[in-house]
Amino acid sequence: LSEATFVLTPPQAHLDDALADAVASTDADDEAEARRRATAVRRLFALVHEQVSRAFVGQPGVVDGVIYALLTGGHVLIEGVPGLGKTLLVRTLADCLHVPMSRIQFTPDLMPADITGTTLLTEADTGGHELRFQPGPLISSLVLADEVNRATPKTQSALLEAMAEGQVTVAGRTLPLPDPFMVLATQNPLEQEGTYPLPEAQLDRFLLKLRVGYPTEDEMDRILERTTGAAHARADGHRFAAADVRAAREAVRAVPAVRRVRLHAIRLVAANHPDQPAAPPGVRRHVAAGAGPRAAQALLLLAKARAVVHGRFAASCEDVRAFALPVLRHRLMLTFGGVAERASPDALVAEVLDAVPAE
Amino acid sequence: VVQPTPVATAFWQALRELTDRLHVDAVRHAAVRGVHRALTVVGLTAACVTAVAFLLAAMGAVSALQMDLVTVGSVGLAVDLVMSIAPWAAAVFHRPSLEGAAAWADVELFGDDRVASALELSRQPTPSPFARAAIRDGLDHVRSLGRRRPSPVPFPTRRLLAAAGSMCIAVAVWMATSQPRPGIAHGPRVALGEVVPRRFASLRPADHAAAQSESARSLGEHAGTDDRRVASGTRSPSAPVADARTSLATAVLDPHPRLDNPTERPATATDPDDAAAPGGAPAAGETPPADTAGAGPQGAATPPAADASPSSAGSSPPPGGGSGAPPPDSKGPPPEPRQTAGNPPTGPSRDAAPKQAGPSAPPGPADKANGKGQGGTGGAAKRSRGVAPLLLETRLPDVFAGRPRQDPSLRTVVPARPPSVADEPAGLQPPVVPGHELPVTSYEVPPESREQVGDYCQAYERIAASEPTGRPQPPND
Repeated sequence: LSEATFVLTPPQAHLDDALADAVASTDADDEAEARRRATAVRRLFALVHEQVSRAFVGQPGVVDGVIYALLTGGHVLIEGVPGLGKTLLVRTLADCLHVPMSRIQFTPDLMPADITGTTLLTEADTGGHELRFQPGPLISSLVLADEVNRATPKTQSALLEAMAEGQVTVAGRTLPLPDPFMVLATQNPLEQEGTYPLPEAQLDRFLLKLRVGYPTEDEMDRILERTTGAAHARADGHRFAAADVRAAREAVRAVPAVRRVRLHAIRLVAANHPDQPAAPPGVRRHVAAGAGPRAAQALLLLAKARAVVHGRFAASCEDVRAFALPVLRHRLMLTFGGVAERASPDALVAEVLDAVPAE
Repeated sequence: VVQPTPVATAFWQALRELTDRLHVDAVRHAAVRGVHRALTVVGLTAACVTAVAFLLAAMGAVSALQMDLVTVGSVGLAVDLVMSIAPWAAAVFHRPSLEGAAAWADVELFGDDRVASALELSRQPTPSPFARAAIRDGLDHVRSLGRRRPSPVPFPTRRLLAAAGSMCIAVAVWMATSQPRPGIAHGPRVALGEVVPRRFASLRPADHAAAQSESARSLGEHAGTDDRRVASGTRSPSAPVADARTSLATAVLDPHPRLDNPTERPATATDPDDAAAPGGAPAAGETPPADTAGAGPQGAATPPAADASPSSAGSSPPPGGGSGAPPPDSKGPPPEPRQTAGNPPTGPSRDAAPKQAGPSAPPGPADKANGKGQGGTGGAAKRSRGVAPLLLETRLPDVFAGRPRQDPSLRTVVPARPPSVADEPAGLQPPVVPGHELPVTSYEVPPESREQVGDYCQAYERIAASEPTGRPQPPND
């Protein structure tokens, strides 16, 4: 129905009568189902967060970001120095979700077939020989790509198809990846020698870029207490199935976002473009290329997930703005002058947030 | 045509009710805030008026700006009223929209756009289950707002207390400065440089009664003096009338020669100032005013040497036509009895000056100029040296009610007011020069003064009728 045929009739009935009609209508069943699904999403988020926090001390923002990415079906690029628990985080998450998990240590000599899988000539049961596909570590629900920037661009590009389309093509055969599929890549921001920076096309595939900082003194104390004792803390408790994650993702996508919220996400992304009138001066001076439509999609999906987790049924502008920094920071391509002046993408995103106020 | 969902209908209904409540609350808040603002601004206005009053009191000019303070206060109150009513009127005529009410509800509930999103989702033709849940969520929030009590308007206690205090101070200052009181320069303003005794700063009814009795006595004294001058031929026939008028009014206004300082040195002929021409001619060294410069030889041709004549030292009473009538308790010579034709005056020197001018001087303009011109009044003021000549002022309502305000820049004594025209005998009206008419006022002449004036005028008529050669004769001749 077009908007032209939609005529709003003035409410004639009393408020209580209208509520009675609303309850008696068949739409109430669908509404109750929506509430139940939203409640399931909140329960999943809360339980996963609780169990991951038992093993992974501190960094609540990183934990939240990973779970939001899980709920929205995105991938996460985690940046931090070695030894901050990135692998532990992914392993704990896998244990909590009861899904297969694999870990790939990216090195310069790593080939694409090493991660996607290869066809091997094996002896068949009938006595002959046959070609059999040996799946690589990429074919898993949770993939930890450790130090992803140490692999060659050819190997890095092998992740593109898996991350974008959820499938891999090996020897002419296209194999679907398990659902849910999630890549958590890490990279070291300090040790840049012998590394291959990720191309913008691959960076754009990551929903979020999270930074893991050093723990505080209290967090460090708890880390020492948990890791130097007799028993290792592990995520034990309720185990979610892959179906639960898929249901949660569907529920998040069903959350409505009004036009006002969508426009706000669009304006935030557009303000990252140096040729846009809404771009702040810092963006015009230091940014060569801004974020693309995937950034707006990420913003809106994450806003929906946040709205459900916070007990709401519609996304708001504040939900969108809450994820502006992790969504946009790795999508800004700085100019030579920006790199030379060590312009911070985080500062540029903050400038964008100031330039585009909430409506 | 697609009917909205029931939950959307309920949401709109609730939002409209919320809008009505917001409108009522806005009107109520605007009214209360208007009252608060009015009281506050009244206080501020009162404080400003108080400050101005204190400032003017410090400058000694409070009485001069009483009307200005009233005007300032009135304008301030009018502006205050408009400022108080304008927001209220705006609130009455401005009804908040549904979007505005939804935004307000979100801010009130910290609801992260719950109500605003619900309003927008309710306008969708076929809202999804999540959208309906969002609408119901917004409905619940709006209804929770409906159960809330309206937020009270904060009462500006401190500001109102400050305003009340300011108003009290302002009223106190107002009352203190608006009532005549000895010690404060109410009423007649004083010429700059003059020292006014406190008891004569304001002429109240009691003082007025005393002044009337004094005027009666001085009128009789002046009549005798003038009779002598007329008999000796040194004075024009019309001069006594003008002098009498001047003496009467000035005595009423200026009783200080007797009441101020009994030991005051009386005006004598040795005083250069007192030696001015009879009837108020300009004193020595003074330039006669424009209206008297060409009045005639009686005033203009008076030589200064005549004023310094030694023969005039001492014995003569103060000349008539001014306020310099000696008090009864003064140390000067007592007033002489009425003179006769065989007893000419022994010659105050000022009487010699008119002789030099000659008796043929035209009586009309010269008398007018001597009697009520600037020079005449200046002479009267100088003859009463040592006491303050009081300028006529509107603060004397029983004497000069309705009289226009004088120019405060004037340094000379304002001409005395003649008796009422109706009280004067017919045919004794002074000649009126265009542009120099005296203002007609309702001047009440005391009965005793009226009788004396009548006697004096009758005596003058007899003089004028019995004078065959144009030379005035003594009335009792």
